[in-house]
Amino acid sequence: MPAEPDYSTAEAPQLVDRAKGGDLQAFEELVSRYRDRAYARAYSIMRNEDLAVDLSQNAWVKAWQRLAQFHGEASFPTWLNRIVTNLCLDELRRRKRARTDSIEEIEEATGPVENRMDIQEVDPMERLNREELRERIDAAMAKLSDNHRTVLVLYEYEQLEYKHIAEKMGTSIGTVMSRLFYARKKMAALLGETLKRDGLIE
Amino acid sequence: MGLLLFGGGGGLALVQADSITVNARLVLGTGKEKQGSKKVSDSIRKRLAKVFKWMHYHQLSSKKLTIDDSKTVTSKLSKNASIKVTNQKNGKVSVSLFSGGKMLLQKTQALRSGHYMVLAGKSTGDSAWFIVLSKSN
Amino acid sequence: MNENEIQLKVQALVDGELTGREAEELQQRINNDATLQQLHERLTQMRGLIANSELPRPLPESGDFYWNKIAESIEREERAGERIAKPTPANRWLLRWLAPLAGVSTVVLLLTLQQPTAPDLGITLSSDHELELSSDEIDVMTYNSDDDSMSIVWLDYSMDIQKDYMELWLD
Repeated sequence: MPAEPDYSTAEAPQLVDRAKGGDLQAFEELVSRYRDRAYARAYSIMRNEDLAVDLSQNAWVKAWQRLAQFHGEASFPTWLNRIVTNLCLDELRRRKRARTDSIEEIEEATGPVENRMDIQEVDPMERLNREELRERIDAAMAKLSDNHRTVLVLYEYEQLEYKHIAEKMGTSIGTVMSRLFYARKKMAALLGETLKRDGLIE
Repeated sequence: MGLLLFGGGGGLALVQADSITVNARLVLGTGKEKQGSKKVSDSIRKRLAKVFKWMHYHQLSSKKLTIDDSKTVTSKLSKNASIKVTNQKNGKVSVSLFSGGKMLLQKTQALRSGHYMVLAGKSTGDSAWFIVLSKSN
Repeated sequence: MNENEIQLKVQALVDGELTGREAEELQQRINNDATLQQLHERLTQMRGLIANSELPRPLPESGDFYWNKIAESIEREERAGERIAKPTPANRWLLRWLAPLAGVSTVVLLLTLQQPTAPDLGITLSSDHELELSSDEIDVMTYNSDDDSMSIVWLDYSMDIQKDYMELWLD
C-alpha cells in the first residue's frame, strides 16, 4: 500500500498545484496553515465569531472551486483573503444595518466644520508595545460602523486602491474617500480616548 | 461459555467468562478552558474534537462498571444523571440514560474493546455534555 | 474647492491616489499652509498606525472540526446533482443538527431522508445498533464511524427540556 504523502513540509505553491489536481489532502494542509488568517480577516470585518467561522469556511469551499483561476499573481493567503472579504461584503449587504450607517452618514456629511484630525502625538503610542497597540487599534475598529470598518480593512489590510474599494462596496470613489476620512478621524478620537483613560496622555 | 477458575491467595475466585468492564465518563465540552478541571484522555479528546466544535473537554465524573452476563448495573454520573448498562448476549451492551429519574433514551449496540459509545446534547452557555462509554475487556 | 474637498484631496495625496500635476499643485499648497501641513502629518501618522495592525486571531474551534465542515461542503457541492435543493421536513430536521456534527455517515443520511415525516422513535441503524427514545420532545442525530471506532447519539431538545432535565446534570 503506497505511503500517504506528508504535506506538512511542502511549500504552499506545491500544495496549490496538487490541490488543483484534485488532491484534497494537499488542500487540507493549506487550510491547516492559513485557517487562522482567513478567520482573522473575516472577524476583522464581521466582529462576530460564528459568522467569521462560517464565512471563512465558505471562502475555503469557494477557493477549492476556483483553484483553476489562481495563477500565483498574489500569494495564496492573499488570494484567499480576498475571497473572504468578498463573502463578508456580500453578507453585510444582506444584513444592511441601515440605521447605524445613516446616522454616521449624517455625521460624515455634517462633519466638515469639525474635521480637525486630532490625533495625539506619536510618542505615547511608542510607549505601548506592538501587541498592545494592535489590541487598542482592534478595539477601536470594533466601534466603527460596518461601512467605516470595511473601508479601513479594504484600504489598510487589503491595500486596495480607491477605485477597487468603490467597486467592492458598490459605491462611488467620492463616498470611499469620505468614509475613509471619517473612519480615520473616528479612529484618532477613539485611540486618543483610550490613551487618556490609561494615563498615557493628559 | 464455561466458568474460569483462578487460583490465588489460597482461595479460588469464580468469575463469569462473559462479564464485562465498562468505563463511563461524564464530559463537558466548552469553548473556553475551565480552570482546575480534569481533562479527558487524549484518545477521547481527539475523537470528540474531530466531530464537535468545542475546544476543551472536561471529565466531570468517571465510573468503572463490572457487569456479569445478562445483568444490569446502574450508576450515577452526577446528582441527576444516571445510566443503566446491561450486558446482553452476543457482545451487545444496552445503555439507558436517565435524567432526574426519567428515562430519555436507550441505545443497544455491540461495544468492542477500543470502541466508544457517545451520548451527547447541548448545555448552557454554548457548552455540551457527553457520556462516553467504552469497554475495557 | 471647499474645505472638506481639500481635506479629502490631502488624504488622497497621502494615500498615493493623486499623481502628476494635481499632486504637485496640492503639495505646493500644503507647503504654504500650516493647517494643511498638520492635517497631512496626522493622516500619515494614522495611516502608518493602522497598516499592519490586523490582530492575529486563532480559530475558536477545533481545526479538525473546521476542516470536516469544509470537506463536507466540498463533497456536497460536487454531488450537486444528487443534492436536494429545498430541504424537506425530514432532512430539515436533520440539517438543523449538522451544525454541531461533522461527517454524518451516508447510511444514516439516506435512512433518515427516506422517512417522509419525523423519524420513528425506534430507529434501527444496522443490525449492530438500536435506538429508542422515550419522548417525542427529543430528536436525535446519529453518527457511526468505523475509522474512529466511535458511535455518537446527539440529542436535540428545546430550551424547556434543557432547563428541566439536562442542566441538572452538571452539578
